[in-house]
Parts: sequence; C-alpha cells; structure tokens
Amino acid sequence: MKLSENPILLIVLIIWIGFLFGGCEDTLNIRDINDETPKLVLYGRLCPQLDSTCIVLSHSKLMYGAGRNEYIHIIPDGIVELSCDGEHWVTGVFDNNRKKYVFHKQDFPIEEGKTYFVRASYPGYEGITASCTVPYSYEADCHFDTIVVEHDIHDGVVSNNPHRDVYMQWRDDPTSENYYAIAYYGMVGEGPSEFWFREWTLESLSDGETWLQTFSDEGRNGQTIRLLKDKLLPLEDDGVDNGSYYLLFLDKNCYLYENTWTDSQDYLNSLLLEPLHTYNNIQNGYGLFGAFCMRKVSR
Amino acid sequence: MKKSLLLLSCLCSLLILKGQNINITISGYVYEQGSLETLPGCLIYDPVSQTSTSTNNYGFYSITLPYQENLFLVFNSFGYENDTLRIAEARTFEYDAHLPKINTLQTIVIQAEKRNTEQVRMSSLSLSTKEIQQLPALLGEKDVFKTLMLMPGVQSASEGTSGIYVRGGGPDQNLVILDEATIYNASHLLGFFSIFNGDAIKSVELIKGGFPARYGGRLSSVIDMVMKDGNKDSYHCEGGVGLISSHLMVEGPLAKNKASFMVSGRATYLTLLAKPIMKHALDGAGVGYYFFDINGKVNYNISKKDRLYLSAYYGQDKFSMESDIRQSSREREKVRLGLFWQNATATARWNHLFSNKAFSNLSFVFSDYQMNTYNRSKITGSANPADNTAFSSNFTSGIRDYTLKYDVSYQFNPTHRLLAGATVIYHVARPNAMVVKSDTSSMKRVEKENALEYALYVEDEINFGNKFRINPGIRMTCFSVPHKTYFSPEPRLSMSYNFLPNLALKASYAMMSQSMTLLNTSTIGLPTDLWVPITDKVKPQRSQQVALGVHYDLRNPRLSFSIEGYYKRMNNILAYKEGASFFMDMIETMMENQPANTTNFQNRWSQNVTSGKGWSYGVEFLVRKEIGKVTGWVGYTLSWTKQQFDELNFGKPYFARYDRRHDVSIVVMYSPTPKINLSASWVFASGNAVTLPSSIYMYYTMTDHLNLSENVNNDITNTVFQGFTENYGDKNNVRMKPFHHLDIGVQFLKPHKKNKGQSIFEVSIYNVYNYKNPFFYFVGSEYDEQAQNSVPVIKQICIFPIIPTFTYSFKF
Repeated sequence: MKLSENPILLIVLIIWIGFLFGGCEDTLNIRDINDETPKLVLYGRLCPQLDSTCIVLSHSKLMYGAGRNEYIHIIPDGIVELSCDGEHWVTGVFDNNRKKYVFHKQDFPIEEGKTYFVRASYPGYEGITASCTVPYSYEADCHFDTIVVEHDIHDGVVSNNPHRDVYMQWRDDPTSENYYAIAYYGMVGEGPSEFWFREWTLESLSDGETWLQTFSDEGRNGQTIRLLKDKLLPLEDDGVDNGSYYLLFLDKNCYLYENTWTDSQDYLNSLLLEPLHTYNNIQNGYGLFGAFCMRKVSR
Repeated sequence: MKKSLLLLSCLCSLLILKGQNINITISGYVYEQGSLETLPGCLIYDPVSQTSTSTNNYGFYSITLPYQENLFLVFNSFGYENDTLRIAEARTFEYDAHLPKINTLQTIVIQAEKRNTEQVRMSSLSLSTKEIQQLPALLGEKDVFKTLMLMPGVQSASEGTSGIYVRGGGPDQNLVILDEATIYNASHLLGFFSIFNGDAIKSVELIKGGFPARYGGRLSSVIDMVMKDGNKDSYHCEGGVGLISSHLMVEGPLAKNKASFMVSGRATYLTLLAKPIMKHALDGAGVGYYFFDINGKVNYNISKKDRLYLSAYYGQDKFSMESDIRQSSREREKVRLGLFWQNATATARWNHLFSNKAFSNLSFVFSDYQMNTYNRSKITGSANPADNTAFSSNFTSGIRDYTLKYDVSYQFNPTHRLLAGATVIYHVARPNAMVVKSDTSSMKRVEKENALEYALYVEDEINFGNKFRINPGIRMTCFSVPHKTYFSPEPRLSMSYNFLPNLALKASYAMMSQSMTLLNTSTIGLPTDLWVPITDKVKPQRSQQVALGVHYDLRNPRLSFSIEGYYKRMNNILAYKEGASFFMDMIETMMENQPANTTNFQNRWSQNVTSGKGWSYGVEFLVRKEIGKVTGWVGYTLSWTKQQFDELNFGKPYFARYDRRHDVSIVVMYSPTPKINLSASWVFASGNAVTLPSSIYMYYTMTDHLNLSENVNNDITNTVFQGFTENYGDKNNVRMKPFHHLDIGVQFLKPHKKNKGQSIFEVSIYNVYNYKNPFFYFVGSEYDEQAQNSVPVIKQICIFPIIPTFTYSFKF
C-alpha cells in the first residue's frame, strides 16, 4: 500500500514525525549558578615524616559566562600561612621550582596528634581557612602474607589452577578511628629503559568484594585487617621490585577526599546518576587541608 | 364521631412519635438509570436536618434519621439528575435510587465539591470520566493522572510525564488502587501516559491529606479508582481512534438486571508509524515498541443481600531493538536488546448486607508487577570456529502481592457510623534476578525478599448537631520481614465546623507509614525503578501531616472556594547513595563472588541506599465553577519541599528535585450548544531543582601530592599536575526554567440516528504557543569564537512542541 493512496495514514505519519523531530535542544544563556564566584583552591597534606610541608594555592573558574575563558593557574604571590594554635602564624615561601608554598621542618615542624590551621588570601578572592589534626601512627605490624592455593573456586566451579595469593595485613588500633592507605614507591613503566622511572602509587587492595585504595576500620575496629593484593602464578615473582611500601595513616579529611574523588571519576558522565560531590573542607573555597603519617612496611 | 376519634388518635400517635423521636433507617443502592451501574460517592441528604451520607465504592448507602413530618431525602451525584424520596411513614425500609444521566459531555460537576462544606473530609476530590474525556490531552490520550495534575497540590515530575507528586511526596508515596488492587507501575510509554483507560474507569478519588483509617501503606496520597460494572440492561459499545492508540469497550448484561460484564482494551500502533523512521535513524537496526492494556469486570447480584464482583487488569509495554551486522562475507553478528514491563491485577469481592445498617465486603486481591531487560548476541559464520559465540543476559525485577481484606460498616444512629476492617498482604518481592549465559559458563543470581503485612483499622463518623463533624480513626499496621517485625500505630483525625451553612473550617491530622519503597534513579518514573520491601536494617518510612482549611460554597453563581494549608514531615525516606543506581545493583549482583546459582541473595540494594528525612509545607487555593454553560476551575499551590540525608550533600538540607514553588492551573470548559464542547487549560509551574556543575578547579590526589610535592627523592619534581574537577556546589543547585503551556480542544457531538449513541470528533492542540518547555538539562559544549576552543554550556532538551491532534470516538 502506497502512502499516497492513504491520505489519513499520511497525515498521521506527518504529525507523528513532527512530534518525534519537533523535540529540540537549546543552549541556555546561564551566566552564573546561584551567584557562584571564583574561589581560592588550596591543597595541603601535613606529614611529620617529610622534611617540608608543601601547599598548593590555585583558584576556581566559572564554567559558563565570561569567566569560562579564563585559565586556571597556580597563584605564586598569594599569602599562605600555617599555625599550630590559630594565633601565631608562619608564612610560607613560594618555591618557584616546585610551584608551591614551602614550610621547612625546622621552621614549622609537624607533630602527630596536633591540630593545625591554614589560611590563605589573594587580592580579588575571599580569604580561606581550614584546619586538621595529624593522626597518630603506631607499630601496626604491617607485612605481606603469601598463600599457595592449589585449587581455585570461581563461580562455584573448582579448577586446578595453582597460584599464590599475596595479602597485605596489619593490626588496627582499637582506641581510635583509623583510616589507611598503602603507598608504593618504586620503579614503574617499561624498563629498564629511559621510560623506567620511580613513582609513588597507592596500592589497590581487595576485601573480597571491591578493590579500594583507602580503607577504614569501620566494622573491624581493633582487628587484623587483611586484604588481597595480588594473585600470582607460581613461577611469577611477588611483583615486588626493589621499591618500598609504606602504610599511610590518613586523617578523615584525606580519606574522604580520596574516596569521593575516585568515585566521582568512576561515575563521570553517567547520565542516569546524580553527580558525586568531591569532599572539600576549605572554608569559603575548595580543596583539602588534611594530614597523614607514614611507616615503612618491613619486607 | 368515629372519624373525629380516629383523627385524634392519629394525631396523638404522630405527637407521640415526634416526642419519642423515632429513628428510621433507609438503605439501598444508587444506580444509573437504565444501565444499573452503581454510583459510588453519591450524596444522600436531608435538606432540613442537614443529615447526610454518601454511597460507598459499591453504591450502597444507609442513613438513619429521626422521623418527622415532611421528611424527604435528596440523592445527588455528579452528572446525574437529582432524585427525591419523600418519606411518609415512620418505618425503616429499603430504597434503590435510579438517577437519570444528564446529557453526556455537557455539564461539569464535581461531586466532592457539590456540598463540600457538609463533608468532614478535606484534601480530597473526585473526578468523573466526563471531565477526563472533555479536557484536551497530549497526543489525544485522555489520562486520569494528567487531569489530576491540574488540581492544586498535585504535580508532575516534568512536562508530559505521568508520575505524580503530591504535597512534596515522591511518586512511590501514592497508593494507586484499581478495584482495590495496588498498581505498582502506573505508566505506559516510559512514563508519558498512565495505564488507566478512561473507558473502563467509573470513578476516581484522590486523597491528599486527612486520610481515613481504612487507607494505609503510603505516605502522601491515595488514588482510588473503580472500574465500571457493566450495563445490566442492554449491550453498549464505546471506542475511539487516536493519534497513537485506539480503544474499545463493550458492556452488557449476562443475566438481565442481575449480572453484567465489561471488557475494555487499548493498544498503540506507535511502532508501525515509527519503525521506518527509526530504522533509518539507527542505521538499519530494527526498533519495536508497543503497549496495550485490557480491563475486564463481571458482577452478579446473588440475592438482595449478596453481590459478587470479579475484575481484572493486564497491561504490558515492550521496547525492543535488534540488529544483524554482517562483519564479513560469512560472519554475522546478531544482537537483540529489550525492555519489557507489565502489570496484572485480579480482584474478587463479595458484598454482604447483614442488615440495612450493616454492610460488609470481603476481597481477595492479586497484584503483580514485572520488569525485564535482556541482551542477546550471537556471532556465526566466523572463520575461526572458536569465535562463533553466543551470550545472553536477562535481568528481571518484580513484586507480587496476595491480599485478603475484610471491611464492615455499621450505622448506629443518625449521628454515628462505624467502619472497621482487617487486611493481610503477602508481598513476594524479587528486586534482582539475573541470569547470564555464554558458551562456556552460566550464572544465576536471584534476590528474594518476602514480607507479610497486617493491618487493622477502625474509624468513626460522628456528627455533633449540624455544625460539628468529626472522623477519628486508628490504623494498626504490622510489617514482618525476616529477623524483624515493625509495628506502626497510625492515628487519624478529621474535623469540620460549619460557621455558616455554606462556610466550613476543616482540620486534619494523619500519621502514615510505608513499608514498600521505590528505588528510583531519576524522577521520570522509568520502569527500571525497583520496588522493594523494607528490611531488618532499613526502617519503614513514616509521615505526619496536619492540614487546616476553609471551604466556602457560593450558591449563586454556583462557585466553591477552598484554601488549605498543610505541613508534612517525613522520616526514614530512602534515596540511592551518590553514584549508586539500579545499574550498579545489577553490576554488583553480577560481580558478586558467590556460587553460580544463588537463589537466596539478600538485600543487595539496601547497601546502596541511605535514609533521611523530608518536610513539605504550602498553601493550596481552589476556585471552581460547577454548573452552567461555562465551568472550570483555577488552582494555585505555593509550596516548599526539602530533604536531608546524612550521606548526601554532606548532610546539609537541600530542596527536593520536585520542589515546586508555584503551580498554577486554569481550566475552562464551555458548551455553547448541546453539540459543541470547547475547552482550554493553561498550566504554569516553577522549574525542577537539578544538580549541575557551576565551576571547575584543580584536583590534587594523594599520589599527586607524594609525587609532585615532596622532597622524597622523586624522579618527577618541580611541576604541578593540573587535572580539573567540576564543582557541583549544593545538591539541586540549579532551578530549571518554569514550564507552562496552553492546550485547547473542541469536540463536535453528532447523535446517531434513532438516538442510538453518538460520534465525537475532537480536535485539540497541545502547547498552542509552542513554548519550549525544559524536559532536562545537561552540560554540553559549543565553539567559542573569542576563545577559539570549545567551552561548556548548559543545554536544555524540550520534547513537546505544538502538537495538534485529531481523535474520533463513538458510543452506541
């Protein structure tokens, strides 16, 4: 049947096509969202084991309107100050090589258990403040544990596939709320070659369900935390080169920032999901002011 | 002399009777004249004493009055001529009223408004199918829910969708009942139309607050729909042809004046129209979509005191897409994807009259909702036989209820009526069931959650004189899940005080609980939203609502005014955690390290949700003209809705997505002649609150810090890695543009010869002035000449421009 022979069907079809393609996409002229203005952005992670404290100061830019064409840059001539009591402040010196405000250990030592404050300002922006408390580190007996598995059970099916499971385990301190990460510093890349270089990475460990880079003692306070690091074939080595492993004791700020940032990247551009907010503890600005301690893992 | 004595004795008898204030009870059914269709919600009142009652959902009434001279009762129902019963004797008797229909499609009267000031109940309204049929509708599809959305306090999620938001509550907080069966997903076509076929529906009642104790299980509203019984006198047929679907209804007697049936069906031909276009648009892939629904009902008057009703509904939507890709001269890959959902209900009811004061109903109800998505692929003809593979995955989710319900009402005296009842519901929920098969392995995961719900209720309707009415009640709900039983006492109270005969002050309080929850990732009511019962860790949702209102009926011209203010507090409401969704549930279910065939998979979804609280308050205004050539209403709602979850928005309260500051609707219907109906409606609503990024800034993770900041002998130093993250600010930080549209329609009524039915030709235009209403926002990009690169911009999608529609319907 030709459409021209059936005008009613033709009319219906035309109307329906009109509906289908009448839907439109428009660009909105939204200048600001809820009077959003550019803000200072600060990142600082205090660590007693490091020789200096480095703080990055930057700024945000609006996504739409005139501000969208601006570039985000590191602010070299701002004022960044640290304090251990909120009254006496030490000003950081901008290191042009590192592009950071540096506080040397001798000028501003970081101690476990102490609370520190930061403030920063730059003309044209609202001043920002934040505080954090350095967590305690302790002897957690962190070490590797390797188990040879003769038979693998996967999805209920037993297979004769001998391998070694490498676990990382440490003891949680029952007297406090603790957050952890395992950092590795060693050679990565294609090597040995010019592309072989040393780098810090956070290890992903599995609790049997998911692979994570940061861990909380929630639900296992005071227990031994034992997480799977690798499944290795017998002939493979441990995957451990001459690099070093560190157990990081994070404060809650660092833990939340790392978790929410990772999640936000995982679910970026998922149309059906509500967006994930990245943790921020900077008053009047964005970023993170946190603390951590590190202890080398015995081999 | 004898005559004088007789007269004297009669007079004395009357005086004695009056002095004794003898109560008489009149009871019976109210029918539509001719068809013998029972009329629920019909008002029966004594205009002198102002005593009134109304028929229940089965058309039964019982009214007890003190006998007096010149006593008469008026039977008044929406769209019907009044019937008057003169009572000459002081005796109890039965009376069935037969109300003649007012010429169809000419008069708009809303029963609940007819004598609004004389009813204790507030925050409720009834609709007749006549209103639904007359108003212009999107694509000509007459929709119960879309008509309800024109009332104050009732909102849509966004333009064109049928998900209902009542007084700040989510779409799952509405108890949608069709002949006492709960409907879990009331939408066709991905939420654009509701599943209720106007041909099959007799009455619709919406309750927004002051809930009677007989209703429970949801926090925000009750939408109670009753199917037509079917004509007991003669066979009739109604039908229509629309732009995207057609419908047909047949009714008639099975045994004259004793039994009748009604069958109604509706189906879309959207696929036939869209297939060639979509095939072209999708590069040869075939796309199919259809929906249909069928309603059926049979009723039988077993005796004067016993009646039996059997009713059923089945509706289905199916979307499918398939492609057959030729990879080489021999190798082909076939892929089939699909989404399918269905509702099925069946209700068996037995009405029994113990006496003319006592009515009872026993119901057995079955309700089922299933959703299924599938994906099948097969590669054949590959040169390497190992590459010839097949894979299929099937995800289903659903809920099934078996309900046993018994209700009884008893009229003690003229001022006191008691209603009581009990309900037992066995919920069989299957939120996640997944089967994955490939050539080398198979996996099956089934999550089952069964629950038992019991409820007992008692409510009392008491009148103190003609001015003060009170309706107290209590509902005791018990919800039992493995390892835990929740007990919820829910007190209810409605009061009304008439300062003047046509001016009433009303107040109500209702505590509600909800143990079945819809987990939705979006507000448009996708079929992928999951219904789940609470668990031992996830508590029932609860709400408390208070409302205060003034109702005024103006006699000439016939106008009714109402103003109602409300405050609703909701606790333990659920939402997905940030980043969690139905899809995440599905993936986690698949990835779970469990044996291949697991059928006792528990509470996967509960790990991805968080509970919080919400509160909503506002004022609703309604002015309505009920009788005359010009009828209609003006409704306005001013409201605020906020939510707070410890795990969302960093614990800070935020406006709910469907927080709607202003909501206006103006509806006008005009019948210049008996053969023409004109109608228009205009709606305006503040935009939804959505979350969009407002600025961007540098991120700096722990590894960035260790590698780039510190003096720990790094190979990479002296630089700052610059990656950027988007700042969303507070949740729902952007208010979408308001939406508004004007719809108009004209109906031409052409009676058939010999007065055997009529034809109706209707032309309507949706969104007359072609306003681009926002459906959703997203962040896109466009080229900026000044910056000479792409820059982010907010874009809106609108999907309903001006849409003219022609429909033809008939009845005979």
